[in-house]
Amino acid sequence: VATEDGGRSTRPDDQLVARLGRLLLLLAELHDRPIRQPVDTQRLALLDFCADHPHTLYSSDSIPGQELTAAGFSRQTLSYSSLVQRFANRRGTIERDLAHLIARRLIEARAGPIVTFALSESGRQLAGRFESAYADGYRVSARYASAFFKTTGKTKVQETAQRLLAEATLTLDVMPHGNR
Amino acid sequence: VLRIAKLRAHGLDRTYDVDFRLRSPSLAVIAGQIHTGKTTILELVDYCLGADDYPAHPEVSSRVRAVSLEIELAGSAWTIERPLFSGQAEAWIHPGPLDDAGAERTRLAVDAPGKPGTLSGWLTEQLGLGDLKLSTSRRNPNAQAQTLSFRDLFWICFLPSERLDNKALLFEGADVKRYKLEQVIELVFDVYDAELAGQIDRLARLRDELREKSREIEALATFLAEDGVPNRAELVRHREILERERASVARETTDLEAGVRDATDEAQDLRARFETARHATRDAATRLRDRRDLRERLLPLRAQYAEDERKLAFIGEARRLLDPVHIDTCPRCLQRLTPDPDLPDGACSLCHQPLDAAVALAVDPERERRELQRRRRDLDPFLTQVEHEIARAERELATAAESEQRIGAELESRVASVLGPRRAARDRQIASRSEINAQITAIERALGWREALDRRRGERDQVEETIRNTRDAIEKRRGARVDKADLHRRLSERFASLLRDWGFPKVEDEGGPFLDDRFVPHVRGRAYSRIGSQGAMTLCAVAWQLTLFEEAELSGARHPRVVIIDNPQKNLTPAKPGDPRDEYMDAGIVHHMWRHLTSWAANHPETQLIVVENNPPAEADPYVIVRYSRDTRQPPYGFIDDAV
Repeated sequence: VATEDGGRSTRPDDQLVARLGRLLLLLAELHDRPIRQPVDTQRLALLDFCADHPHTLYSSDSIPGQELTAAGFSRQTLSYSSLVQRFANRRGTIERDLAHLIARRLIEARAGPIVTFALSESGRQLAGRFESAYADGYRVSARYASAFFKTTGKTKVQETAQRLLAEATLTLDVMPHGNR
Repeated sequence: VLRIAKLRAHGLDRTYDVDFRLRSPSLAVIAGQIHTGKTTILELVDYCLGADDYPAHPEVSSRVRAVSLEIELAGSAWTIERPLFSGQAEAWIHPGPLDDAGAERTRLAVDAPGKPGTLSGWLTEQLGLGDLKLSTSRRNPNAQAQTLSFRDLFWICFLPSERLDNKALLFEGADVKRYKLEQVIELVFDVYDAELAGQIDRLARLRDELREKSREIEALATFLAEDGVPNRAELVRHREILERERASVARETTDLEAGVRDATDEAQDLRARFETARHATRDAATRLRDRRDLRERLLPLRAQYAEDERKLAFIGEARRLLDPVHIDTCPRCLQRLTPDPDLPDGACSLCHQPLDAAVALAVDPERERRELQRRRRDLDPFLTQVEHEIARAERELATAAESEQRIGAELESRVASVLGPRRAARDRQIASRSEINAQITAIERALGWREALDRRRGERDQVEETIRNTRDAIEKRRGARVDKADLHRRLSERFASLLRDWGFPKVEDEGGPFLDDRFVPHVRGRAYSRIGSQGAMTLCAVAWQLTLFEEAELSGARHPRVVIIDNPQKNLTPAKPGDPRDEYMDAGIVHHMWRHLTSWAANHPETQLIVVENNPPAEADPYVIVRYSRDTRQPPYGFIDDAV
């Protein structure tokens, strides 16, 4: 598997396989605990970003925050210092990443008023085979992220994503459920 | 010499004139019934010569707006004009007769008599009596002297009717005025000796001063004796002792201050150490903050390394799992690819691009993980070292702070211990010094009293000496001066001669008429006011006025040579025929008086008599310049002849 855009970067987040793996795990979570809201590119980008930086949603002394710390997510990492840039990057790569997964028949795109995505059977099986510590941690944070935006409608998710791109930090007061 | 020539009252559309020299240069008689304006004429003359008031009865106020008086002063004609009812105390003079309308007029003030630029000043100047000083009080020699005013001089010229019988011919009852009148008379007759008067006054003042000084000396001496104030020598000796004590205390204070300075120098050293400790504390705090900042920067880096390690492990896993999943669907159109894409001959069968070496060199997650682990291993001991340094900096800070506090406390207690006892000593010295100063002040005060007593004794001796000298000078002056008694004798003789001439009843009783040393006329051994008859008072008054006038003329004194008498027959004729008469209501007396007046006028044409009388006897007829009838059928009716 080649890296995205020529593979010059050695940063883990810039590695295509890392992003594909995270998307598989996220869609597996949405498969196990389905939500009523449509799973489109916008929501997937927001959920993946929040699952990768779960402390943007929960304070470290809350119960989810403590569980996330136990799952290996540190609030102290440098990644929190440039959230806007990171979200912009994620938002820019999500559609091509989804195409990669479709090309491998790991997910299926469903046409409707908007295009939504779901795991294929082979994708579900593959997702179950991830065993690394990060994969376990990501499953936990993906569950919290999905739950956080469970009732947030499509329009609100779009607004939140736009705010995320405009604001210097992900300030949680824009979220309907606040800093829980 | 003053001559009164013409009076003109200016009406709205006409004038009212009186020509005093119509019949004779030396006697003018204005005759007529009562309430015909005779006295008004005299009052207007008086007003023109500077009186404050003018007649304001309806006949005048309804018709007269100004009044002019033509006079002759030392042979030259002058006209004085004054407005009536204007509120302005002013007069306008011009040289020349009344009718000389074109002459240049000069304004003179009328208030403030005796000052330059006033009517009074001008008149006295013209009469050669300018700048003569009168004292204002017989008793108070310090009272300011006044310049002789024409108003004062005019007292001996103008005898108004009321002064004939009001017992105040010489202003008895008004001391200042009376004293001034006496001085005016003495001035006129040149016997006023200002220097002698000054010396007598001075003697009186010196005697007062001597009494005052003696009282002060007595009071001060009594006070000093009762208070037990020591004598001067003793006071001076005591002061010297106290001054030595004060010097000694001052030396002690200097020593004490030197000691305090030394002690303060020691404290200076301690203060420097305290300053050093304070700097050390601050430096330790800075170091601690610096290390803590470093730790704050390192911890996220370490956390990032740990997370990246976990992600690299995940990448390895993803690559392993995803690699076997071959692409068999077109990501663009989602149709099945046949055959499966491959990389034959160094090119992609799906996109037909040659393979890039860089892409082939994909990240090796394992190698990256090892690199990250190495970095984390390097970071960990550094972090540990930083933690140690933080702990050490915390200890150093605590030590430095404790040291600062200890030295600070030491400094504080040192300063207190050094200055404390000395402060007490210093307070004692200050108290002692102020006590000594208070005693010295008290002694100096006592010395001041002693000196004041000595000084006053010296002054008293000096006053006594001056009194002796002044008394000698007065004696000498009295011996040398013109005999004032001679004037009294001459005036008395003339006064007596007039009364004898007029047939004053029992004139020779009690030694005959005379003027006493204050010019008060006496007849029958009594003052004029105590004879008990209005007629006698009139005769004495007229005779007194004429005495001064005639004696002045005969002796060449400085009298203006004018006498104006209003109603000289007052009380000498019964108001109505059949009224009771006293011995003075004798037609003979009146005839004698008038004969004297006409005869004087005939013999002394350089003088001027103006007489106003209701009903003068026939002797006066040739001199009557006007006779007011008070009868519209017999003009003139009165002075304001159209006011009926």
